[in-house]
Amino acid sequence: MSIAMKQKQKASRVIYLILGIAVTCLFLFPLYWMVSTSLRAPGSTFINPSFFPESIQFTAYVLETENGVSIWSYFMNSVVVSLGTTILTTILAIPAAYAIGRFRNKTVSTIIFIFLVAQMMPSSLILTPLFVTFSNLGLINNHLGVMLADATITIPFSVIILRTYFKDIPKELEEAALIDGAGPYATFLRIMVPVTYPGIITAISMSLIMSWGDMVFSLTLLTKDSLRTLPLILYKAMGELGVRWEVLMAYATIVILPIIIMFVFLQRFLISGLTAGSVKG
Amino acid sequence: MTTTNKLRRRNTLLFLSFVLPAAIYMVLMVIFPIFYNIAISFKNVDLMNFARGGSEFVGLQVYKDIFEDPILGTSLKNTLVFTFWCLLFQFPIGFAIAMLFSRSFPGAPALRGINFIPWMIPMVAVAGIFKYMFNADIGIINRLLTSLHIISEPIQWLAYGDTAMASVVVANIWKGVPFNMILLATALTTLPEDVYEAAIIDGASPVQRFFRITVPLLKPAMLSVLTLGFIYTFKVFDLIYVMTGGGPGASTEVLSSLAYRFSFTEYNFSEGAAVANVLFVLLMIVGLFYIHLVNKEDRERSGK
Repeated sequence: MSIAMKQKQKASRVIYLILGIAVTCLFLFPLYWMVSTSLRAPGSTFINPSFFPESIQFTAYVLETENGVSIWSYFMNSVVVSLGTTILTTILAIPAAYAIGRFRNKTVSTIIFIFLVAQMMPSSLILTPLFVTFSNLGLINNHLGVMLADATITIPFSVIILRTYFKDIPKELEEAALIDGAGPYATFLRIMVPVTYPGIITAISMSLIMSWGDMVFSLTLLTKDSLRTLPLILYKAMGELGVRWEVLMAYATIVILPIIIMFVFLQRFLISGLTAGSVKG
Repeated sequence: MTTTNKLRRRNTLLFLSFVLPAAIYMVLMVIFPIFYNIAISFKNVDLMNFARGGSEFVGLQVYKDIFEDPILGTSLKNTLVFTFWCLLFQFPIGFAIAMLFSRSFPGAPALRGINFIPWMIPMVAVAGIFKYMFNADIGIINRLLTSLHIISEPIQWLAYGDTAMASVVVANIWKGVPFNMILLATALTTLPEDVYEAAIIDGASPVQRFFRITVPLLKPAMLSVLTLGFIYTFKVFDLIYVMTGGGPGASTEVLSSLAYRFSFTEYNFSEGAAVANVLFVLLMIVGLFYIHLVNKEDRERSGK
């Protein structure tokens, strides 16, 4: 390669980098605006907020809600619901994904079809029946009810992601374990599950994120204020607090923060979760 | 012969022991509710009789009622308009960003990763942020447009039908772009480089290379992104419910928000169930095409 060509390539790399940073700043501006608004003094958002906050205050983060409850107690409700949903999802989805990824029989394609339909199904389709059934079972105003409902989204998603991981394991690995005298369950737990750990981390983190962000099931199944989850409180606060934007943006930041933290540590797994969950072509 | 049968039976039992817990869950929490929803839509279930029973079979009356109500047509039209504008913008924007970040320059993978964040953000937070930005009095969007002299008066974005629809579309595009970007960027990295080198030697321009090589090779990924994008956008609920509540009037009411309103604001569970069924049937038309794509890929993968 000539020197002129190399220099040209170097210049184009710099242009791409500048362009990339510009696109990122523009695209993520809403997040900057949310955080910077949340750090303003109470009431300062009645007038046009400036681009940079004049002083940084955390008042909005420690404020109690209209009902005199700290926002962090709703945070704990969300933690309980998303952890519960994820545990339920993991226990049910991993063996199921293994079965449809490794076994070949007539029912497999039917089961895959059901999970794919469930993945595309709108929540409103099962909302009315769940509300009626849960009312009769006493699962309204019960975190267990929300976990069971959230899992209708996370289980199909996890099974569909995980089955491709189980499918790609070489047959020899499984056969070797079986020849060594390990039973089928021991092979599954000691060989198959550890080998698919990237997929399992992906499924777990996607389940956490999806159940963390759910609003529609909490909205329908939780009417008691003390049980409500964070996304629901953000929604309710938007009606009640009106123009207290610094408080609303603090709530929004608290909703988003755990996801950003997960993203920092699990970026690779989260991105592969999206790509594995769909047709790659 | 008997040993193979025995082996086969053992295998079936083993298969069932792995799949049954999830299968039971799916039957109870998904399949049964889907059929129950159909049953509710053929009855007159409301606040008075949903818990104690006593609702009656009314045949197709509920469907007759909702099809005669102009709100169903309006919501269907809004759902289609919303989906159309979202896909029209999020796909090319996502594609363009994917093209940019698939170039090799320092920091490209990191920047691509950071731009993925909006896709993971809960819809209710997206709705909150954009409701703030589209606020007529202190919203940053009006301020930006006035300072650039694009508008002279602040726009009451969420107070009028067309601008309210534009606002929810913009918010949804922001969440949808990373999804398009990541899937297309992943597909772009799998394209064979030697084809491009040969095209350059043959004197093909960048535009020719894009339309003659990139687009045809990326067709399966593009199809998948558009189908999934359609499904996710067509059933949107949280964003509309939080940002506009379907209003002003019914100008942003979509099928899923209408189903919710019928069931849980007006407590007319049968009408809510019927609207949800209409939404599901429409989704499944595109959904079955997506399932066809998945099965095709499955066959190709196992054929390798």
